[in-house]
Amino acid sequence: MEVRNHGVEPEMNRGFLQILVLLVLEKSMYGYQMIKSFLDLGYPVEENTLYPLLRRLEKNGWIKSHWEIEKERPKKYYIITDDGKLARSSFLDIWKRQQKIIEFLIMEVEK
Amino acid sequence: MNNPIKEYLEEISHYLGEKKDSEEILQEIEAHIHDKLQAEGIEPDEKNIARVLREYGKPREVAERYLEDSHIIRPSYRRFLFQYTWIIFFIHYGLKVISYISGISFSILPFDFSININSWSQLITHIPMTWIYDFGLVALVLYFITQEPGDKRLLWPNLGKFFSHTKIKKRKIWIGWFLLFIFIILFAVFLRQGSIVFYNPAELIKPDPMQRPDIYRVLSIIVLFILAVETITIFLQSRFSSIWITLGNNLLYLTAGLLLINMPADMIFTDSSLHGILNPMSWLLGIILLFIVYDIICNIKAILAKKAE
Repeated sequence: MEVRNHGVEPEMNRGFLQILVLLVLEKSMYGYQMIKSFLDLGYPVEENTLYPLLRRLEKNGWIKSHWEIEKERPKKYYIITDDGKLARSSFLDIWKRQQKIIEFLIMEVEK
Repeated sequence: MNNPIKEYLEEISHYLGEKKDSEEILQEIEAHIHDKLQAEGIEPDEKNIARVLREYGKPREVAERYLEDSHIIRPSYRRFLFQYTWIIFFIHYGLKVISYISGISFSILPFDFSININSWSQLITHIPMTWIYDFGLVALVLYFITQEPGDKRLLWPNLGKFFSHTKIKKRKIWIGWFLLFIFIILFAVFLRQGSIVFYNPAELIKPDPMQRPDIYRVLSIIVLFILAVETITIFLQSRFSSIWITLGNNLLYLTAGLLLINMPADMIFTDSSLHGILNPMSWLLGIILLFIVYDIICNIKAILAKKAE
């Protein structure tokens, strides 16, 4: 039977990507660097997904940004804020709880 | 060399519209494209730029990612759009019906210059026109409410309950047979005499000189029409038990009612001083028509609810 999962993956990825971004922005990075580091972790991220997400996180006050000129080219650097660190620990707690629930349910299914 | 990038950004800008931070969004995208070209160490020729832009996504889709949070009408207000439209439509169209029956011209909503309705066919064409007008008006108000900061608690009258009385009226089949019997007899009389109205039993079909002879024929047709519609409805309901049949029944009565309201007074009375008598009758018929419209809405709602299940 064909599983209809159109649109499910981006939806699930959104929350996960948010945690990833808040984790990697412990040190200052620009967009393309983030995409490269996610790719190195084996997690390809669409470019047009990352930037709107960064904008939302900045609007929430969880990250902040500034422009720098490097080799005559502007680059926008992002870094996590104190509020972002608080949000990140809450997200990680939730994520750990969710993981435990899923592991438990998988064990139940496999029994 | 930069032209394809500029064109791409312009296209995104077009879809972003008046978004206040669109300038910075475009700068971010441009910076990313250059970062990528530089990091990949490839020749920034037309072919490579086209590939990088393709990988970034279609301009419309890119813009939509940024517009996900901006709404013309906030999702929590969307349900009000149709409900408020129906409420205003009811009042608005009701006034048009009253205006048509009473002959008084008035307008309560701005820019609604089409209030002078002179015939029932105009009244029918005003149904979609009025609805679209009211829909636009409500959408505009909800748009302004959405743009306002803060939460607005809008009234939500429980119209669902008001319009949910629908029940398929299943009448006993013998009533259908009885009505059919009456119909056959009256129809035979109608074919023979041209009317079923016995004004004076002593002198059959002798019209009152105050009234036009045609009115007897019209009244006869009305009675035969009601009998026919009810008989067919009872037989169909006993067989299919569907809301569509009730809806068909309502629509037939609505059409007949509008035709009747539209009947010129001098077709009924030869003496024009008697025309005033028809006014209260028109009002009564108007009220009956409103009940029929109410029934139609209930039935349409029931059909839509059934389809949504």
